[in-house]
Amino acid sequence: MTGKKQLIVTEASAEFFGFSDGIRQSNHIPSPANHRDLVRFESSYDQRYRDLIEELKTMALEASINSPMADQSVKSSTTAGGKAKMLHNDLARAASQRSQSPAWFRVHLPMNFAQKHGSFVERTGLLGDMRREIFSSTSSKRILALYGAPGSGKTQLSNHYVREYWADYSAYFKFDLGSTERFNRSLKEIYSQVHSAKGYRIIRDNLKGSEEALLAAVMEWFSKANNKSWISVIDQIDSNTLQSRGELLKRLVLEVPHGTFVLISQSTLITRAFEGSSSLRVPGLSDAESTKLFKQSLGSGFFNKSKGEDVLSAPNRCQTDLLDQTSGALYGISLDTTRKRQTAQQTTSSNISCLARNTSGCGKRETGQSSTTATPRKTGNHSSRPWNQHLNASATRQRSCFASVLISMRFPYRLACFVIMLSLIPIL
Amino acid sequence: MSDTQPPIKPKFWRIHGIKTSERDAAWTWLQEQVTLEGLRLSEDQGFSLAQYDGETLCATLTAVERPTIPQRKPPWQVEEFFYGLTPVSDPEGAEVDIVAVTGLGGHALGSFRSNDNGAVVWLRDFAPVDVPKARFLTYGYDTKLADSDSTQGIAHLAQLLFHHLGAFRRNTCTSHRPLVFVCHSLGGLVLKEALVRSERLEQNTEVASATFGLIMLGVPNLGLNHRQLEDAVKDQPNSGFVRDLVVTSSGQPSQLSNSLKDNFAHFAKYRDPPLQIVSFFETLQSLTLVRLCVILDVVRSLIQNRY
Repeated sequence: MTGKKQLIVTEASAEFFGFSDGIRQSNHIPSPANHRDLVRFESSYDQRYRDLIEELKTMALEASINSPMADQSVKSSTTAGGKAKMLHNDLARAASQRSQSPAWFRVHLPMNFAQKHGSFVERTGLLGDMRREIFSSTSSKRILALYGAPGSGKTQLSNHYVREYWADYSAYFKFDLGSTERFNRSLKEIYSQVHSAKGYRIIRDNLKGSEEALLAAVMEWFSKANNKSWISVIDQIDSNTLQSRGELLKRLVLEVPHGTFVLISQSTLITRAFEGSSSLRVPGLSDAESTKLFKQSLGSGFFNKSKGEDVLSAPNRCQTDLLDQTSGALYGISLDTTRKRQTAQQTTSSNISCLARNTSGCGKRETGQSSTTATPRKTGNHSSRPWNQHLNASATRQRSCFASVLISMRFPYRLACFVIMLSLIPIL
Repeated sequence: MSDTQPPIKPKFWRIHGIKTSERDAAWTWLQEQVTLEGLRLSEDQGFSLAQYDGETLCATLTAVERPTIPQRKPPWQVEEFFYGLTPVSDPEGAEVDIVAVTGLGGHALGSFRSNDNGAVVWLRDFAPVDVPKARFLTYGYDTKLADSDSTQGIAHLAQLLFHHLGAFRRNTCTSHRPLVFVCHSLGGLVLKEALVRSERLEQNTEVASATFGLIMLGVPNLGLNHRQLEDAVKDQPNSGFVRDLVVTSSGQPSQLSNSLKDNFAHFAKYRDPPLQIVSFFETLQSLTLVRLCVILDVVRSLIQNRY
């Protein structure tokens, strides 16, 4: 008996969404079988079965972790009875615990960021104050404004906070308002982090969008129903950025219904700009702290090889932290009057702290300009500060970029480039 | 496992009404039934025993002949249609429900057997080993084409699917469990319709909101490329149902396929959390000789009517 042979369901038909639907499905997999045999497998070693079961395993695992019903399960468990109830309650408890920091929305800390701990000059009580201020709000939306003089350690404090209390958060993002490029770069990085977050494979394609489109996509993710335990740090807010990006920032901070925002600025202006936020002033270093810092900088800067001093156990990390802490001092060159007033209060605290800043400031300049004398510092700084690495090396990198592209080109390509350029001359 | 084919085609039987207290007895009995058949299955394959509701268990069995039921009070019931939900694995501490929905003219277990005469059903016999934290269920419904008096449409099937699933999960105190569906062919359309319906009509929302992911095998989102089906059911009450599924004479998707596709896209787009969808598509051609299908269907219905 022979008959007409054809595909009963075509590839296009088996796919769920077309281009026009604006959503993507997770995967579309060919299976070498006819329509009926798609669900028939000889054994558990059948390759088609393995393909299917791998997808099923992943999905079952993700489903058990990210149960969309986790919240309701606690309620429904009260109505169950008998032995089933016990089992049910246990499951519900496990599910609700997991739902506090849902893996669905988990974004891992950058590796270097997570490793860096223990080498920070402990600011007595500040971390506790910060914790208390953040949790002073009973709602699921928490805004904390950190302000203080340049170099007082605001950025470093927020980093330390995230590291210390990382267990409470599912994701950490940093918006850098230092300059337009830096803002764009941080926004793109955040978008790609959000985009690759597990369990969020279906997302509207906005990557090629403008600043606002990117921000809208990120905000959409921030606003997702169960996604409440992320923390975002917005660094380098000043009167200039408030003027140019004030609206954008306000939308970001005020329209998202939940989550934690830490706003960092040198002036008290931000506490007024964002209503409903609590604020914390970060004072300058105390005498003891700056002495310690100074010692550390001396130790790591000049006595790299010396033994016996425990502060020197991780010279590179000490140095890096010191650079972070004092990076504010470098930006302080363009202080406006309000900031100057604040600085005046701060700088009375200690001469040594100024000295410490200067020393490390030198170190920083060194790392930027000469690559031979400060190699250990430079590498340390690079590996541990992905956010700011550009700051230090951008100048050198930009200069060498064009030349290195030309040099790295192989001969035939160089020739091809040359020919193309020649052929363009008559057109021009 | 299936190195040599059993000479005759084994069938699938479902046994209802086993009391929870009879679990051990039923387990031994099922093992005997399978080994008696000599179907060359490895141990613990070829049958299943799982909680059906608060008081009773449900068993499935692969056997050539209708099994003789031991005398019990209340009596156990045997049937082979598998309409409604059938649990085929029930591990302790399962965290996910995986529900298989068969296709047009399919059987809740028979569609998933290894081959035409196969005794092994991957859903029951090896998938639970690979995904130990999941309870496997399979859903069966009457979509035989030949000699059908059915007037049902896809909406009826969809409504029933979620209705049965909701009731089953309530009865076993597992309404909170996330759901993953494995759908073949028409089953995928039924599920799509069910999800869209439950959102629009706010029926069985607990099932819809527990749905986490879909694995779709050859689901005809743009219609079945099988015009001969339509001829086969001409003048039957189910001709409308089939016409909805098959592409039009010009090869375009039917009206129902189109509207269902749009509705589902809308549903998926605004759903939170997003649905995980993985689809598989066939790359081998199928024989679409309709006479063969009809003959098979008639034979099957004759066998079914014998009991």
